[in-house]
Amino acid sequence: MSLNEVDLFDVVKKQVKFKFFSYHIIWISLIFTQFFGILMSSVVIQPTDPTGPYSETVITINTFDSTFLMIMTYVWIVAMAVFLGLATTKRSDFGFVTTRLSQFLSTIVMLIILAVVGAITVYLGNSLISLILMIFQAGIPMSTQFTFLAHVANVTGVFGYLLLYAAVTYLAISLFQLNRFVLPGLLVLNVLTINLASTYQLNHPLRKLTKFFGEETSILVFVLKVVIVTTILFVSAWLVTRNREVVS
Amino acid sequence: MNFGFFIPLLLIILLTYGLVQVSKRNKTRPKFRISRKMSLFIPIGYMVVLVIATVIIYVIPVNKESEYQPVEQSSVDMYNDNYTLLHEGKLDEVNPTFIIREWHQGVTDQKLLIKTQTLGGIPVSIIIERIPGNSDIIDSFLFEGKLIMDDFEVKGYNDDVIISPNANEIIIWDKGVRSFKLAYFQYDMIMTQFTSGRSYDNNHSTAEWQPTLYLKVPESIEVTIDESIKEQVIEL
Repeated sequence: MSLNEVDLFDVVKKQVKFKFFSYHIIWISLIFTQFFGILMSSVVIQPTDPTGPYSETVITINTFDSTFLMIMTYVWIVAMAVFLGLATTKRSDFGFVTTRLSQFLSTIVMLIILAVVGAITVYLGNSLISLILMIFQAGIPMSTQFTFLAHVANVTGVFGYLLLYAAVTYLAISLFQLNRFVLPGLLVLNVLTINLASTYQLNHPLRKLTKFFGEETSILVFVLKVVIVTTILFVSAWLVTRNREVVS
Repeated sequence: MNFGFFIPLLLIILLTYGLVQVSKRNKTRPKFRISRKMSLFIPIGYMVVLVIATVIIYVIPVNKESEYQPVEQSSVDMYNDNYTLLHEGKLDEVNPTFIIREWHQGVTDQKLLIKTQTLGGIPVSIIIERIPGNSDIIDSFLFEGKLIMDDFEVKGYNDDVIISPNANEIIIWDKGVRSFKLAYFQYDMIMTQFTSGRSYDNNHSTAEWQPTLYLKVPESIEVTIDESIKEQVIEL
């Protein structure tokens, strides 16, 4: 117990600052994963069959997209949630005057920051893919049909998915640290429910969850869903970890 | 191509790697280190590259010399209407802006031969309108062809067509098979989700109208057409 009362906000702020500036691996890995995603997006094409109404003309239309970049960013945030959730990383947090709550809050804030950075870099990465394609692909018209709001919705949507992945992973890691058998147990449960769902021709809960987010076309409702679900996930993670020893 | 199946695979690999690292956490040391300075410069450099790329993409003007130019559906419809008029023999009603070449050719012996220099078809359709009289002058008009790929028009589509009026002959050929490549960049599926699927449409459409050579030939002139191109000639 400290003789001086320390403001929780100040401690969280210091810890977030520490994590932001000290864990270089976070930023270096972001660049590597996204760069890989950008390169893959620039070479992976969806070709259409060369066609032509007349035999004298051969038309080929190739489509490039930034899906691979986004997938790599999902992978990155999952890896970083694992990294921040691991006991090894958490130990360094306790070099400060730290409680379990401040440590938890700083990790959550850091995950939110990572989701923001991830969403912005994915969005800007689209431009880099476009530029690479403009340089190396002849005849690539740029799509200008989207409104400003559509672009904002895109960044917000990517942020929402990144935050969801981060929250799910953080909860999974918290459960893993509580008991090493929880994750294998969940995997077995997942396989069982898939089997049961296919046997009785029911919708698998994961499919329902995918539809819950993936089929939402209103960005406002989507954001609301993300806020509610991530809050539930983070609160669950807090309930799992709050009574644990300070150093795992 | 759907890469969705990669996600669970990569997640499982990462989780397994993470769990293995946890189990031997005190035994490992980082195999390589990046200096503090470098680890600061690399992310800043990356962000600078991304920002510059974005600025370039949004600031550079639309290239007027590009092979592909955006085209409005209304102008395609207008072109199509004129194309139909031409094929109905109503040359006088056709918008003259679509006539890209016009010439008057004199023939001797009241004979005209239309042929090609190469094997196979020719890159134009031919319409022959018979006009009364016994003049030895043939009026020729080349109506432009169009190739529309989705919302883009291919510039220079008519450049490969070679028509050589020569004494009593019209020789038509092209420079070889015309080949056009168009590449699109689409945003990721999230953009699709909130734009009702507009960004992620692989159903591309192409429409091609060959150039049309319209010949006004006096009835007194005997026209002979090469066997190999007869199918491409319409006699009104």
